[in-house]
Amino acid sequence: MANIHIARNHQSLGSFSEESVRDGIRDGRFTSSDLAWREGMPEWKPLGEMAPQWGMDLPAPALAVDEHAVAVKTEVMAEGAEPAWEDRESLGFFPSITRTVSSVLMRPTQTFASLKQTGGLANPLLYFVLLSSSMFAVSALYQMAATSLNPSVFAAKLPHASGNAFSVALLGSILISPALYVVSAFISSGITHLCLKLLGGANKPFETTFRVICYAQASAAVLNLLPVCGSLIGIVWGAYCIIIGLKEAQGISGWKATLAITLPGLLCCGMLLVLGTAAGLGIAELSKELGGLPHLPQLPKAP
Amino acid sequence: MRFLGLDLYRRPLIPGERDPELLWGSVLLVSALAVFAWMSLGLPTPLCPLHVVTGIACPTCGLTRGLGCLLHGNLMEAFLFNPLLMVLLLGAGFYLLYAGVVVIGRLPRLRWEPLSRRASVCVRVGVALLVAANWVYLLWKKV
Repeated sequence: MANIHIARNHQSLGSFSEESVRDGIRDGRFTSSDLAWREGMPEWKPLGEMAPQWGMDLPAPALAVDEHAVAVKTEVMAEGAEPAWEDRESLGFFPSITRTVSSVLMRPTQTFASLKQTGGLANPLLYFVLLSSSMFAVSALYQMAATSLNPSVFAAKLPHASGNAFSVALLGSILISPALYVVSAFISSGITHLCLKLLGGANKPFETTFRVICYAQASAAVLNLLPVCGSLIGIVWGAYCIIIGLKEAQGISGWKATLAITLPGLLCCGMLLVLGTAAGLGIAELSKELGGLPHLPQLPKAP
Repeated sequence: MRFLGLDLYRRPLIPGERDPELLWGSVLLVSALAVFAWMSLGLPTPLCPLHVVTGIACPTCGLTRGLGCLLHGNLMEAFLFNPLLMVLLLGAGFYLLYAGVVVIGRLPRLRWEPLSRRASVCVRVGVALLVAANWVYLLWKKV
């Protein structure tokens, strides 16, 4: 007999044997309001409706009590307090942004531990696109101002990053950046979630990974406002926030979260690091075998 | 249907479920259009630091050159630049087609689940082996 698929809160809980579903109903893991589907059915139906047809009819009161307990538990688990951005109607638009940025950057562990696990993709995507595009625009305008203030210096040192054509290209990229950020949010979250799946760390659905990536990356993008090394600090701090976020939200270890976000880079270009480390270790071993660093020949003394 | 330790089946969307085919189909379509526009305009493409510094190919080397060949219709040449990534691109093309059909036709969606923990581990090890074999090929061919 085919397995029974169970869903709750618009998400699949997985497929289970009849025996497991029967046990699940008995011990309160499944409720009559959960949706059930098995091969051959044209659509999902409430478990309470299907269970009797599958010979699983249990006393209704027991099911009702368990249903309430599980529903409350699920609600508590799914609904966290963070981020403030999703409460912007009561907090106000700009205060909700500043509160989200500061809590993600300054208290990532607490923030992501109480992050709402559900709530859709629209809110984090809007936050990500708004902040990332704005910060990109600020960086581009900053660059344009710098080139126009010192045209001769830039024309000599960076011929490709000066002149009217460059300014037009920058303005064009500011205009199309929101569309590119929408696509990049999905691609980066998708790759990270795939890596989590490969590492066995995707305990929560894609939505959770997406929310962590969007809130962490967009908040760290604000660091671009710092002159000179802001973007570098933003990249490092953003990566740190994502690792903490995945660790807390997916309930995995830190090293697994770190590996999930570095795996694509390691596959592509991180081999440089591996080769560099191997070369360094090789040199260290060699110098140890030779009894320390090779002696330099003595130079003749000057007359 | 059971295939290579996986349970393959078609099921309707859960009421209120986010439509993954619609989401990822759209992302793929927009990405494909952006890449096509980028390469058609001849805009600069990123270089692999590992390849530039050491001359050794990384596991994703050959993708840009392969894409260039694909745009000119040279399928075999594209495949030789990076077989695994070109197969994945082909898979992405099929996924786009499938997503279009099931979303427009409101058809049941294809899903798979590993039948056991062992099957799940086998899938992961299989992916790692594929990446490793592809990389050995790239190093051997000096792509």
